[in-house]
Amino acid sequence: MSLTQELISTLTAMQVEAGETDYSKCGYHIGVHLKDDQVRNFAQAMLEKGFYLDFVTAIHVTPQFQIVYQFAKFEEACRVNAKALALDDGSIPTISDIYHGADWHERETHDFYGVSFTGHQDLRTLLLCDEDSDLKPLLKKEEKLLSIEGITRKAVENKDTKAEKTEKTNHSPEQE
Amino acid sequence: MSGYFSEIYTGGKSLLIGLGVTFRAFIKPVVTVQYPREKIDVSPNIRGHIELIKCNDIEAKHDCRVCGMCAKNCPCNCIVVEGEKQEGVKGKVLTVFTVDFTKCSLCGLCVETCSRSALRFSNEYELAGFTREEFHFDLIKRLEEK
Amino acid sequence: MATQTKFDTQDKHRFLLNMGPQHPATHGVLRVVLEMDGEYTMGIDPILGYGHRMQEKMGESKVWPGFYPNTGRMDYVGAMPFNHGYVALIERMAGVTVPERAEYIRVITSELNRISSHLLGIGAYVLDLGAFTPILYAFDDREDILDALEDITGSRLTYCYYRAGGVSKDIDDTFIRRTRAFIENFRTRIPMYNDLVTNNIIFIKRTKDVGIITADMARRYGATGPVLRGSGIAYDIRKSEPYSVYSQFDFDIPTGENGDSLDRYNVRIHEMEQSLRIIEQALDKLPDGPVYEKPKKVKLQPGDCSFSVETARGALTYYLVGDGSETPYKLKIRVPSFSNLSLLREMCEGMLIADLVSAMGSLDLVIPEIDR
Repeated sequence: MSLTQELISTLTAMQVEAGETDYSKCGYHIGVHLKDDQVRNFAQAMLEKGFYLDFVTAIHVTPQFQIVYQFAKFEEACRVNAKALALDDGSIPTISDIYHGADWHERETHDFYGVSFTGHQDLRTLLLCDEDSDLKPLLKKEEKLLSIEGITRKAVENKDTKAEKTEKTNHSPEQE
Repeated sequence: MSGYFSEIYTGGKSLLIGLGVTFRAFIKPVVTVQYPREKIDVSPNIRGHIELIKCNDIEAKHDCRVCGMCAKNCPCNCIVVEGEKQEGVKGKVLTVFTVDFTKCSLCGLCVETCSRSALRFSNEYELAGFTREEFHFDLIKRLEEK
Repeated sequence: MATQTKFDTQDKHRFLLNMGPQHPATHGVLRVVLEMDGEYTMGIDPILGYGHRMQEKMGESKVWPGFYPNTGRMDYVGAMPFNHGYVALIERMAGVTVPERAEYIRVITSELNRISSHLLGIGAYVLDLGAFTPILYAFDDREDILDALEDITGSRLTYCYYRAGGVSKDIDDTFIRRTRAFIENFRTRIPMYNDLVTNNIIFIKRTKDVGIITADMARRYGATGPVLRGSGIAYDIRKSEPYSVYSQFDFDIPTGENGDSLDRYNVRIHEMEQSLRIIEQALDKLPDGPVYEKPKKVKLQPGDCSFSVETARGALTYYLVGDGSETPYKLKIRVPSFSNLSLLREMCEGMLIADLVSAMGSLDLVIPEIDR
């Protein structure tokens, strides 16, 4: 069994939604969707599988922030992109004690978006200065803010009614 | 104990070899150029600020038709192009072409998008001034001075 | 940039020491607050953000070609791979094909840039350790590369050469002749560097067993590039996720054994040799043809896309989220030095301050890249 399939079956056993993606289009092999309480278990599993953390970032969309974790592996070509929805108050459990490198990435995300990582030991500002800590420069303005559907890849292969429905919402994000 | 002396020997030898390298460089010709007293030719392809290309066979001395693509494509918004309609002339006539070099990042998108190939990079690399305004270049004036 | 440091020095024997923001060994404006016990560093708190320019916001506020010049200004020492990552990301997203000649030119210029970056990195590292002359030799060689690249790209450091769909200018015979001459000359210079620096007993004593990074530590912090390869893991994006035409070349990934500063230095020296090999093969195979096919108006389709390239300092990932317009909805830039620096605390605690300078220098940091 290839690493990709093995990982997907492990993640599915953890009740995490994982699926293979088209590397030539997305740039990653596995796409994962997480619930907020699965983040820590998922990170632990990834560390045990020998992945390293490439980056953590957030995407400002309605209704909640989407937190993106990207992992890759030293030994084999396997890039995993995980997206988790933050809670309503914009918080998500930290993984900085599992992946120590996530410490700074989370601090940076906190700087730019105001996402608070619960359990993070040290959420001081990292790149912004203290006076600008309320600035949150990467938050979108009201008129530019999109819903999650507006930034989701359109399904090209199966043009069923569902896909068309998503397309329609894509073109009218202002209505939301 | 023998390790101690062999380390002194190999260490001392490595230092002498290193000194040999510097000594050989010492008797080689000098590579440093005493700028600005001495200057080397710069490549004709270097990117200085943009300028209009001189065309002697056209009355206006340049080939700009005021399409505004350079100004539109500039990521730094540092180009201002204005033109007006004149009688007897087809299309627009260029009246203002300025570039704010303090903002320019020399990406070259303006030169690439120019459909008439009327723009190019100059070879000016020695630019210094006391005010920002000194770097607001009027390209039409520059062309006339040439 | 936090003004409050996390140290609480109740202990009378301990004191705080600011290394930077203007310190010769930080290679830029990086401030490292050290909690010292005599000459030993007991706590380390790097403070970033002095050169912060919010590049990601700039990426989200212009149409995508407008970000070209910014890509060259993050890592000003090795700007080509940063160009490459961005244009390749757009190409992947929009399905733009690149002429083969352009891909070869990209590889040649990227590898030349890698050599010049490593030369500066090595020179500056040895300068940190107190040896002044090697950086002048390094600059002498680097000058040849910069002159050659200046001739085709028009700039010496902050290149803006690659375009989605090719490169902005074709290379000419002068460039090929210059590059071949450089390769020939540089092959004779590497033994000279070994005589001058690598085998020098003082250099070895300052770097051997200093700042050891284990493979496990590198994994937890996400360290990449020579910092990781010094710890014995042969991970290189050019091999593991081959982009451009890298899969067509024969080259090795040099690795170290102990993961100390000396290994990281040696990896860089060997990497320069490998880059020479790649350039040579690329010049031999260089096909004819166009170098730039301008794509039709590219709209960034809804959906995310990432692209990783190997820069001189490690893995660089651009992550872009499109919303159907020409402006990216989100652009994340994962820079290698950011993760490489984050392991400084674990690597250097309990170390002599002189060793800290040595260990930090061996990470080959470029601060504007970390701050973005």
